[in-house]
Amino acid sequence: MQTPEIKSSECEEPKYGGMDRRTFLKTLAAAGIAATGGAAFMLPGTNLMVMPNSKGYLVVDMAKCMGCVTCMMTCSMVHEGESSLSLSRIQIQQSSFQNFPNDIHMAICHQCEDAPCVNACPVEADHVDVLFGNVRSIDPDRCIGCTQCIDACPWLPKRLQFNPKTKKVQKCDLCANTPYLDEKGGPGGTQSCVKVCPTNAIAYVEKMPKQDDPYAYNVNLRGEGWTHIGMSDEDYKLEG
Amino acid sequence: MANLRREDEMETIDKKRARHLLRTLDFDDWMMISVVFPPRSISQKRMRSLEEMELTLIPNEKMYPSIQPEKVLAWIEEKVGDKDLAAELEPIVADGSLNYLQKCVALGKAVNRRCDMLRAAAGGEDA
Amino acid sequence: MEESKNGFAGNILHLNLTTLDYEVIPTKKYEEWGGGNGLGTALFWDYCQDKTITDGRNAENVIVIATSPLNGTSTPSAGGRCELVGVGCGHYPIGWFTRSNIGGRFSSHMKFAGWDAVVISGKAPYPVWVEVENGKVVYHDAGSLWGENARKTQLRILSALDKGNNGWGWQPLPGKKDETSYTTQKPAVLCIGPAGEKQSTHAALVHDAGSTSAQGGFAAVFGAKNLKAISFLGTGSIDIHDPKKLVSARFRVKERYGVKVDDPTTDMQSWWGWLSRPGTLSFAGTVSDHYRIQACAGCIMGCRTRFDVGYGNETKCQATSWYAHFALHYYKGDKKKMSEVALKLADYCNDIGINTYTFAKSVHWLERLWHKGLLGKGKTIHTDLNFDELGSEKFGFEFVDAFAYRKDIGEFFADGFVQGAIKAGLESEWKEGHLDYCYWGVPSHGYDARAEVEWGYASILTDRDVNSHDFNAMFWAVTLATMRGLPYQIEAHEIAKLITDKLKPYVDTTNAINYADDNIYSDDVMNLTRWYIHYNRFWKNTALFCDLRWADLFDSSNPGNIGATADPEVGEQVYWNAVTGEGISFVDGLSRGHRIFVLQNAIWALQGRHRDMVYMADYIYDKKAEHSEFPFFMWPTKDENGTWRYTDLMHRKLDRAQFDDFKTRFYKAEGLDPETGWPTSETLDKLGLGFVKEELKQHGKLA
Repeated sequence: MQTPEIKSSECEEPKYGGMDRRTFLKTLAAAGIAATGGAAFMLPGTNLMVMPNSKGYLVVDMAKCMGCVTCMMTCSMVHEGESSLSLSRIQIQQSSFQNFPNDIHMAICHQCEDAPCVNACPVEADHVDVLFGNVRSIDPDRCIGCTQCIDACPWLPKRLQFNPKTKKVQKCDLCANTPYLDEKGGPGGTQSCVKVCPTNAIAYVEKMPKQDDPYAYNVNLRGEGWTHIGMSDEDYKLEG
Repeated sequence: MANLRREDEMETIDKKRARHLLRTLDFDDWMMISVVFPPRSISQKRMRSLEEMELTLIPNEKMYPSIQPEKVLAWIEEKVGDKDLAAELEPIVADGSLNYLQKCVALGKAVNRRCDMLRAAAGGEDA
Repeated sequence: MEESKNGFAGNILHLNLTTLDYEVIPTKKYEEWGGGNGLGTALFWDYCQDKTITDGRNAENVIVIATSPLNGTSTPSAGGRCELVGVGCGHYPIGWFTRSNIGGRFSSHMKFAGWDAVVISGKAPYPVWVEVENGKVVYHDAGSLWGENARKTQLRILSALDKGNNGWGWQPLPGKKDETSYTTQKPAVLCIGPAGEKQSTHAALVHDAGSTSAQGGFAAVFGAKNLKAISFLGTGSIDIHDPKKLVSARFRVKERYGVKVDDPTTDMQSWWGWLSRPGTLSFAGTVSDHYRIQACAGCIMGCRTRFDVGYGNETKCQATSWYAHFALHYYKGDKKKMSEVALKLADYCNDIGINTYTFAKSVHWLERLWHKGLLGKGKTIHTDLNFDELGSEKFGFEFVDAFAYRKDIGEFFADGFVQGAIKAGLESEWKEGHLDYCYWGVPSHGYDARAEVEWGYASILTDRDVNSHDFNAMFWAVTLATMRGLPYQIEAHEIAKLITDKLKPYVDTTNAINYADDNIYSDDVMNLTRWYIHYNRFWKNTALFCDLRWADLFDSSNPGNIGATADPEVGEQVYWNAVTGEGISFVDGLSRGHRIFVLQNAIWALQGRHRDMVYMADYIYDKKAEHSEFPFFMWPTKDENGTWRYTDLMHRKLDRAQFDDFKTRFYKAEGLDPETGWPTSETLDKLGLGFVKEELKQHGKLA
């Protein structure tokens, strides 16, 4: 299978508190703070939480999605062992009666650079998982179900899910913790939604999409193969 | 390749004859043919005139005519009454070297040429 | 309510419309029936008190809408189908107990809400619609919705059920044990439009923009019951016996049979098979370059389209082609206008809830009547419609409106076209084949019963046009290759082997697929027909694998052209067992299909079926199929020298006496009485159907 080439994502050097990375690291070094491979921490004298970037991200192509929700059913199966749309960490919303391309919206966790959900968690359940490529994930043993992380998520629909059975919150961990997946997940491993999608409308990338661009996570994954089957490869600016 | 008659070898058509050949036939003489929409659908319609047959014959990537060429030939000869055109189409229909769609294209082009001629003649002077 | 276990949601909802009440039935008692058609038939048997009724609009009728354990899971092209069973209307001479099926997301939401099926009995005292949200079931007065088309009905219900959200963009729903659960999804609604309300047999049930149940007349049954709509929204989970197995099987089927959407060398022209076939999209072309492929829940590759032009969403198949050729000519070859008219009309038919399947054959017949002076103002059949305008957009909409609102010829033919022909004294039109309705008062599918015999056999030996393309996949591949002058990717002798290998133990010879004139009544073809019926009754109608993708009897995307059906890695039984844990074989499923079929024969016996009425229309036996919609009808045949080739079968008629003999052998093989076609006591006992004997005996129908 060919890896689709992303044609229109705009990924650039992330900014740290307004500084570029080199200046920021020099500042940390000056403050005697190690910044390599550590978990999130508060920058002294500020209310700025510093967290290493995720080593991987999901991006989607909403024009390519066919709304089959196989990704959703698979996501809940690999994580919980049961098929559920409400427990899926990727959400596909659609309306039959709307015009293309606004008839489908794909909601993925952005693995935000300065993840508000991590920031908001009072018990460090929602954390940067250094064992799995700094993915922002929730430790179910620590979660108290206060849902402040959900409130903090800047996107709609919120990219975290409240599980009414366990009374805890969960979120996309790039398949880091998937007891029902026979392969290794997490950054560098398999992402089930990417693998199962019949149209390859979801991709895993290592370069962080532009954080201040609401359209950055919707990219064009349609190439020559797609046009060959009679479909369009036109770019669409869609908020994700 | 079918050995087609040259246009200048064909009968000279006057306006009345041209209009007759382009006419809408009586219902009992209409011919049912179909179009196939690949990969798997079909839609039927009765052909009421030579011009209607002309519209359907040449395939494109989305639509193929669904005809039995021998029957189309017979229809043109017996019902439309254009024996000249039928004679031109006969070698195409008989040409075993053409596949079905090639045959439709060749038939379609011949019918189209004939209809162009008839339309021009139908708008011309009376004999 | 019960919890989900092994693919079953655990609960069946019985709506008693007469009392506007409901009961919850544990699914456990019915699990042996699988789901879909099997579950529905068993429930019908238990809940319909008078099975002798012959028109589904009778208040005694019971409809069952049933899911399968595979719905709401990632089983490829089975996650989203939904089966409806009950006594239908519109068939001739009897409205048989029949079946229909829809796609989309209705069945998956029924499952997520905690339900395996809905049994609908009685008749509401006034129009109602039913809201189901997880375990909550509410009847609503549908007075203000009555008269609305299916699109507006759904939009109004969706608006009424929209609770807003708590700022999360998720809807809160009451879950189990009073906890709040959340969803981002919209309710899945199934409803009727004006045609269903007026109980026209041409009505369709509609879900979302383009999933429709049309065959069988169940929309008219809804209308007769004063039931406007049902909606489901669920936040629950479906328990999977072996989720790891299901996940890996789904990954594997994509690797082996998935459409290679990013591969520019994917051959669009020459695929042979169903599972790996690229999407079909609209059949009359598209009106814009901007659209998506859209799919039902869990599908491996979608067959529908959503456009950017404001119409045509999810229209497909013959709904988009029935009027296309008329429009092409009316608009003088303007293909873009043809596509526009075809899609607008298909969209309108879905909006208004009309079955377009019957139009594909009846419009030509009406055109004939018009020109014969039998249809028109003051004619034998009166109409104010001007058939000289057939092909125009205006005429198309007027024609559909006539049937939707039961006016003009829509009223005259409200019970069916064959029924109308007989009423007008024009029965000969049907018997001679001008009205190409060859079995049970429903139209030929285009795959002429004289050529593609298994299609006609299975249709007449069951209750309706079989609409199952298992073998027909081969017809299209061969026909298109022949038209294009391409070499056959799979030669006749090879395809015969590939197909018949999948039919074991029913057939053990390639002769079963040999449709030469001297073989179409053979035991081998008879056993192929039995496989066909059993496969459909279980794997397609009960487990709910979609007809557009399964059976995959051969597939050019796979080495050796071997199809996915019964494959040990990715065949139907793999998913069934991963979800249910039952550990059945593919053939076990066929046996279950046989059992379901025999139960249905018991119902048909009660309705009045006898083998003497099991015949296709006269013209199938009296007239050769000289005319076809297709230029040729290519099918594998074997000659006296044992040479296989694809042969044009467009030249023959069926023989009554030979078909009679075929039927006798079929009945015997099925365990039905060859004198009557009814189930025998011995067969019923053998298949664990002893519980039906008493009722059959009471009506003198136990053989």
